[in-house]
Amino acid sequence: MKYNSLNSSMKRLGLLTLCLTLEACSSYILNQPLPSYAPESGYRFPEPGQTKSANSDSLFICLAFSGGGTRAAAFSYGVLEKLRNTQITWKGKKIKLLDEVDCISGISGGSFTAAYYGLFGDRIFEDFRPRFLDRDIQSELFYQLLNPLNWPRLASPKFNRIDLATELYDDTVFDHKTFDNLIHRKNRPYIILHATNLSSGERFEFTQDEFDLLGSDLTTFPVARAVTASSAFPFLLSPVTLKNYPEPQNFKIPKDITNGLSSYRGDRRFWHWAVRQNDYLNKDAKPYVHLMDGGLSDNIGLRALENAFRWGPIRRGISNNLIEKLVIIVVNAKTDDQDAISRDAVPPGLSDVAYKTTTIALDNYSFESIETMRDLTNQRKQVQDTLAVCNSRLNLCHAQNLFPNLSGNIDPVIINLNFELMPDPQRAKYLLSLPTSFSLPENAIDQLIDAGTELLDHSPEFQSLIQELNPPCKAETCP
Amino acid sequence: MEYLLVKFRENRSVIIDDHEQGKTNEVIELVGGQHSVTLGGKVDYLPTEQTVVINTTSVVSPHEIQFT
Repeated sequence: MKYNSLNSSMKRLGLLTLCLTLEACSSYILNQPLPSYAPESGYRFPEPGQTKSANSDSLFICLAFSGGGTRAAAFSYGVLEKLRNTQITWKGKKIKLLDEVDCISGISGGSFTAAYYGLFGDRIFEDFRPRFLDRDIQSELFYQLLNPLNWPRLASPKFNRIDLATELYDDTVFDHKTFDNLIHRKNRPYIILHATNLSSGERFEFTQDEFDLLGSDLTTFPVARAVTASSAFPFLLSPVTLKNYPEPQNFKIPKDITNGLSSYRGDRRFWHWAVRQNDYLNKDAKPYVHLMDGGLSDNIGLRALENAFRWGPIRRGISNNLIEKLVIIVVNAKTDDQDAISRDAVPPGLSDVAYKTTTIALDNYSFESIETMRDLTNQRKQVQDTLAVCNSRLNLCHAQNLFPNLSGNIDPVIINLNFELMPDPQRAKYLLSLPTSFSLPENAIDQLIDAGTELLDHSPEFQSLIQELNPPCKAETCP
Repeated sequence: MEYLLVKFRENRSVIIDDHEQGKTNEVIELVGGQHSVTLGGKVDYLPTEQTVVINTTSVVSPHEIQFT
């Protein structure tokens, strides 16, 4: 009898110890404070001309990987594969087109491929399929939820489903790498991972520029945590929370923000961006930032590139005459829901309406983002051409004064890839019907990867770019 | 987009909002609104910084400022 009572007490003590141990681990990963403000260091979009790299500035290539779960991750992986297999000649050097990619902006499913390539480079072609694409991540996450060892942790208000997802990605995909690892690779491309600020609805970029405003150090932050925030689909996963710390004593508000705040009448977009950035400095009103799926604010990741073109490093690369050819490839894994609701006389139910109200805005915004980027680069080309024509006419008239030259001239190329452009309608229909999920059959993964190659092979813009970058050799130089 | 021409006696880099962006005596395309403009290299010019508000310009009719 005494033995039984002792045994029972020991079991309870053991259980209590286990619970306390698990409770101690029941808190989400918190971003760390910034010891001092250093605008020249940290994980920031590198200024063209200021990095030593085999990758040239003159051919500046950026990729935008959309959201869409494993479908988007596999499609963007297929595009990377095609770029690796494409040889070009630039400034007399024969190189792989992939080695000229300067930045990748990734959202949700696309952020897995972007982050993995940023961290591990060409290793992605050896192990990304078994480590991510071919896995049933959804079931793995579900088993984590069912594991009784996780229940005490999940009972804590500071530990949630999203934290289990971070642990899974950190352990099995991203090898516990942080943004410091991305800095120390010292190689392009620069990777921009995005989430959505649940309070303001604005895009949130995992860059030191954004973390500066939170008084926080991005270098120690796990890449897996950023990818989890980027792919935190509403209702399925909970938000990722960041602490908004007081600024270090030497912090100075960047001039583009202070000037942007006074630019309401000059450029409303610039002003709006500055206001949202400045909001993070209101520490008393916003001591925390809650982040969800990046797709809620920009499902194709193009807005970061648009800002970089309007007033960021891409703009400066152009004006400083460093960027000659600007190539932007949008890898959009959008699908078509086959419009089931229009075939039913009964009004859609609550879940259908909730789903549609989220995704309608996303798709409209994505379409507008691509067209805005195309308009912006076209306008730039028109301005360059108009000025050149004006000056050549003035020259013909022997005019004394020509118009001053424009700082920098670029040749922009925008390439938009999506499943609607697949040449085979049956394959297009199949790809457009694939669900947004973190588990797809092997055959679907194969087809998505192949779609990356096939769409680039059938893109007139891409083919004309490749022809231009592989000029026919002169007889004496032909191999 | 808007256009700025920074006139100076020689070829220098132009610093806009703390970033090098274009050259003097060339038209610089930039986002409209308020900007802080100065020059790169030796500080042998006046004023040392100018704040400009740029809107409704074109490439053939840019906002012009001068450093002496």
